[in-house]
Amino acid sequence: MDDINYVTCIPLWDCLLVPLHGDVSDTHADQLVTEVLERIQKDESFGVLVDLSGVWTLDSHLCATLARLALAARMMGAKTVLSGMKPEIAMTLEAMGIELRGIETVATLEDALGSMGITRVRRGPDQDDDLLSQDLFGVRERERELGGPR
Amino acid sequence: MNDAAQRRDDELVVPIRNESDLNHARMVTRETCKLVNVRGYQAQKIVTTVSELARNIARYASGGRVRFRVDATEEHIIIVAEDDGPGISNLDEILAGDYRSRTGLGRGLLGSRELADHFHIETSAAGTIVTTAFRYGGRKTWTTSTT
Repeated sequence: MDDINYVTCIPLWDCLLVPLHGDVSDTHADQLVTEVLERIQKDESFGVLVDLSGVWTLDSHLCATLARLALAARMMGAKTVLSGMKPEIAMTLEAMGIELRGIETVATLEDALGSMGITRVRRGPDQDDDLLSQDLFGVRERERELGGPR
Repeated sequence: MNDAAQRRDDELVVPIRNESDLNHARMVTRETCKLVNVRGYQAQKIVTTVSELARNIARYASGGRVRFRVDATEEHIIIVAEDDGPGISNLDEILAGDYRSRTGLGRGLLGSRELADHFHIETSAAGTIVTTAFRYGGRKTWTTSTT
């Protein structure tokens, strides 16, 4: 595989982040499907986040490829979410009558993570990881109710 | 058809032999758009149309070319995709939207017709010529036709 067609798959907890950039060639698109499906099996991923914010053009072939990827991923138990589609690309697809059926599409990568149940928890400046975990699981709250740690 | 013999002085011709030529065609389209300050949605429509038409040439014809020309008087970018393939036997069905393709030919042509301000297609056993035009500035649109 040459550098141009290299598929980036970033493991993100139990999901795969797949950012696409520039002109996605047909060869690259086909390799994308193979690579992502293999990674779903290898990493036991349950979600695929495809970020399109760096994509220059999305035509009918790339849409069909993404739909094929989402369908195959679903058969393997993984959900696919597309994020970051530029307004002009969305308008072009709408004008062409292309629908991305069966694929969830969200505005930002943060929304895509949220769709997978991954949300942000902001840690305070005085909280270390143990205290944060205790907060998350309600341990500290129960200790306060009971009058302090035992 | 010989590229050099048919080439006009005021046009740029990108040969399409296989799918690896699509990126070059899209790049030339972007540069053409920049030349006349076409950006955003309008530029995206033009690049996507070229991508669809060039892919049809690469997949279904033995070879062909995409011609780019800017008509500064009429304020149009004119793009002609022509091939030496066997022609499209079910063109009417495709343009009527009745053809459900598993390979993408129908969707690409239909989509290109929706995106272009002018769309004309001629097909025969000697090949297919798709002429599209996209206006920039404030001129009125052309019509769509089929032969």
